[in-house]
Amino acid sequence: MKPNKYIQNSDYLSLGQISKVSFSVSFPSVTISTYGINTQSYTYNVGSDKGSIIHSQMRYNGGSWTNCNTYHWARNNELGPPYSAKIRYVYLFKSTNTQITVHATCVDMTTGYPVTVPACTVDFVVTFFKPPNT
Amino acid sequence: MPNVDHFRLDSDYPMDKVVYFKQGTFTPSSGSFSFSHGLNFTPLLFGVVSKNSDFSEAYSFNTPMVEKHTFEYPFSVTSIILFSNSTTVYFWIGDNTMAELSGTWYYRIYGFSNESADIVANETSTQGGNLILNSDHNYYRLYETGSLDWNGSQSRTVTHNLGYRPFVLTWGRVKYATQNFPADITQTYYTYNTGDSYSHGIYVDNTKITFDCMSNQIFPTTYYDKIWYRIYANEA
Repeated sequence: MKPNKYIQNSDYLSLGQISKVSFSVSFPSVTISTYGINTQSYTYNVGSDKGSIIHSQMRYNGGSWTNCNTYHWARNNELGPPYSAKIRYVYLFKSTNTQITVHATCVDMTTGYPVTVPACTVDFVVTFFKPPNT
Repeated sequence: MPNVDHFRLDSDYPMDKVVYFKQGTFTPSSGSFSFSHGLNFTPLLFGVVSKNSDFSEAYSFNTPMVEKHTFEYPFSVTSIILFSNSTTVYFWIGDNTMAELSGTWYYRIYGFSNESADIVANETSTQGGNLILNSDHNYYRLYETGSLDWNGSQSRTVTHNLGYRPFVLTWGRVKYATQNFPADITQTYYTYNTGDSYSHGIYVDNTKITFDCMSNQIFPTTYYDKIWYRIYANEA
């Protein structure tokens, strides 16, 4: 459906953007022996309203921007040999009226031999919306 | 107002309409939580939860909220996943034993219509007095909505040709229900799960949205079997 008319009335609430921030989180290369955890935290002051609705996008090492966020299972071709699969980046977002904290964790889900995860950079765009009716 | 250009209304595109709103309390430690939404359609839901009644510290649904590290589980995270179907709103609580999820929590849920933008919005009309346009806010303009089937191992694309990377929201219907985990509609939250059962990603660029399924995986299949998308005439 492509909207072809403008109708707005007070029967509906709307979604207004408060702010939008862009930033990057870098992971150094790390050797993981069993279950490995590598965490980076990032805090950004946004001055947003309480209870902001957050939508985030990210891309891995300058690749394509993804619309699914907060869980990212790196593709094999993003990691390169000799690493094969099963590494997960998890991003924890917490919003307050003053700041957002992004807690990015790199997890090796393998249980076997040591592997070295190459350094990488994850770019984020985080959009804050004012909660309707507040 | 830091940038007056942020406030733009465009008669070519409507602001998106929030047609469903509900707020209340729940107890995550008690497990999953559900209630009837009372609508005659399945809403596309989103929202926030908080341990504070004033939402001074809030988390969006479908995002990792807390993590724990134990010998048995060196790393695990928990989310609250928000689902909808034709009758019910459902909160799936990942790990309700985490101490951070104890006590009473507060939720606010909002919903878009899943197809037509011109439904009767009985749920939000009572909130109509709260529709206040504020020149500090950039009200996103809806460019296109739609849905597509995403079965099996196929990749799909939706062309928008806006010439810039637009802001896009997507919801998916979970393909397989598991115990206490419904095959209902939720905001997409996975990007690739290589080596396991699901291998997909959703990518947005200047001309299209790609609903990608990796054909070189052992089990190339998607986590969702149908997608709903909303493309906005706003840059991501």
